[in-house]
Amino acid sequence: MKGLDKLVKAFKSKPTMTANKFLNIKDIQGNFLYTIDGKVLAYLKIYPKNCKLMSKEEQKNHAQILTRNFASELKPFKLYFTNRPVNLQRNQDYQAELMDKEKNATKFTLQSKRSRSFGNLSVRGKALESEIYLIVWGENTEYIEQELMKRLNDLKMKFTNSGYRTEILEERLIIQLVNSYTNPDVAYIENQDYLESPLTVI
Amino acid sequence: MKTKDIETMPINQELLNLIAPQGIEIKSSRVQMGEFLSKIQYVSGYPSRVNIGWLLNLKDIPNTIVSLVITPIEDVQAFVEGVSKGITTDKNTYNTTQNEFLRTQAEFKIMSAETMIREITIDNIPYINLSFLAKTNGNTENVFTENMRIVKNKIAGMGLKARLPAFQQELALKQASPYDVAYEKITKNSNKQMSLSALFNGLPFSRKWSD
Repeated sequence: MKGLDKLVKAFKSKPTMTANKFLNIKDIQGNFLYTIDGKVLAYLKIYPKNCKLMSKEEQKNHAQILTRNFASELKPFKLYFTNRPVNLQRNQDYQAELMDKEKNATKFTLQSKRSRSFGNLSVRGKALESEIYLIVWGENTEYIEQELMKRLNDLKMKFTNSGYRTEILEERLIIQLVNSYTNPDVAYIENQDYLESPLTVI
Repeated sequence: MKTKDIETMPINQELLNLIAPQGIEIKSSRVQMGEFLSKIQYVSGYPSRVNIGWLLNLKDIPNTIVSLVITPIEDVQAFVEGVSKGITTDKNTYNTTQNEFLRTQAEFKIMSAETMIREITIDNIPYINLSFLAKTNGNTENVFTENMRIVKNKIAGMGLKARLPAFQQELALKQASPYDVAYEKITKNSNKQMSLSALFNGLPFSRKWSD
């Protein structure tokens, strides 16, 4: 009985917090996320490129260019890597269409192999699209938003000079990114138009 | 927006209802977010040498999110002085010890420190602190265990050591997220000093070719 009392006491004394509060997010507006503890975050999406197609020497040169461009960066930043499953259905349909039209036996065999490999990727959940984000932040001061935007534009320039395409995230995409972390299963299915009018029946 | 406006800005409950998980339960070594089980690990040990593209295999692991907090070392002078003092100590050890293991270790430390000083002072390559966190998800116990096994193998296969920030999963969860910043309790254990070129030699912005 004593043990049970102890357990009840321990359960009662355990601090509980709502999931909403735990997230420490106040709002997401424009290009910024505002936290409850007074920080402002801004985001840059980096579109990856395939460095595996470069020779070892080219890869080293590429890393050197990045290092030179980022040498002047003196404030902390975060790199966030996530990967989301890609729907290969359209591609598989296209492969099937090609196979239907093909009369050459060798080509048909190759196409069938390719189609199977797409099928394998799809079934094993290995068809993933890599997404990379760079996150900068600052304490809530008078010109923090302008400072963060300036910093993001500088970083954008550095990436452009290193051969990368980037995009400064806006409200909808920031919501989608945060949602992909908190609700990994619904992140890319759920409609993000939460500010729209309630459900309408047609 | 002015400072005051940000301070008085109300919490957007409508938005939070949309993005918050169904519930969060923090345990000593794992987290349950909605239906998903998650575990956050940090990289505590790195090999002395890494190949070009070393980050490629680590950042694109299925069901795993990787978050790197990069803090450039600002006070370069103090950093170089610290490294120089270390060289003096290691040289003393190297010259006096009879223990072969300590002698080899000191020799290696001297070489690493000299490389560091050369990179900073002659090649002008900045040094950074890197905090590497990986959050692995799984929607069932079996899937989660299998995903964790894959991550551990990948990390160990690269010669890195991963550790669990036990009893600090909450802070690790926050640091690994895209909506929060870095926490000292996590970075003090996970930070690794390296040159910026070592990070970029990992080709962090490259797309993975194939398995």
